[in-house]
Amino acid sequence: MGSSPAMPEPEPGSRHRDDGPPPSPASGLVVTDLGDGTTLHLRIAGLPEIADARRRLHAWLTAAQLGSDHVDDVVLAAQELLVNAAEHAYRAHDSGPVHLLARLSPPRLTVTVTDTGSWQAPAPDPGHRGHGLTMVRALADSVDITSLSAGTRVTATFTTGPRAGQAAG
Amino acid sequence: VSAADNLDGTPWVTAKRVGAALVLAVGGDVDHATIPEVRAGVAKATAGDAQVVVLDLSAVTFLDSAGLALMVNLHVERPGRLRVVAPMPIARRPIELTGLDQVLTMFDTVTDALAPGSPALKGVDG
Repeated sequence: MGSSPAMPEPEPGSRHRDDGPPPSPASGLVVTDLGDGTTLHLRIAGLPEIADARRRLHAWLTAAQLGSDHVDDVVLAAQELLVNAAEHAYRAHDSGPVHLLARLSPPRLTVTVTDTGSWQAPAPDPGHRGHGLTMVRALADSVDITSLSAGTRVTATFTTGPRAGQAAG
Repeated sequence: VSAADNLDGTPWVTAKRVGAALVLAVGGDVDHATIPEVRAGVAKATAGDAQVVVLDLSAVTFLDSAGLALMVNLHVERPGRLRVVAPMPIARRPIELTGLDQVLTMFDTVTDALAPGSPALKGVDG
């Protein structure tokens, strides 16, 4: 396992510490936050950690002072991408980790989710998977899907609005 | 304070009969992780003979595509007899983004959903 990076973040307001349960020792969620509000990396080992990852992203976006509507939109899109990716990873013979990389560079925010599984187009009756991709496409300004030699990378790009991400000092 | 409780996200389902309608209130996070629990609660509550099911999502704190799929199933099981109450964006937005607001019968309040003249009630007559 890689060394779990310390979180040098400068206490973004009062909420981040208090809300959300601390990651349990058993959790495979690894959080890397550069602390400057530009980059957040989350590594999850599977579906059970997605809710925790989602809350981390929510807290990070909130600390970056995105509007709450923006935050909810990005978190919803990220949720669907993570679920898709984790399901791909589980279908693959070895279920590798799923990575989420959020980069904030106003007025752009990109969320990139990478898995090591095999991308599968939605079935004729896609069920919730179809809804998930529909939402991601509706929420993001653009969605790029790249097939890797082992895995799939999906990048969703959002417009954050002019106030987002301005460093406080 | 109570927001901290919400962050836990544990879902819940409560049911009550109002005349011929069953009002199902769902709260907490409704997502891929919690959907088995929510589905079981909903299935248990809807096992009766209610003419109309009002699904009240007012207290939902997160809704993803797994929750949408559950709603679609409920709708398919009782076409024209499901009414969805989703006043808050956290639940309403996913429904609208996927166009399900054109399929489901949407309301802002449970009171509206129970009103005699609502579209869903007319559907029962047919």
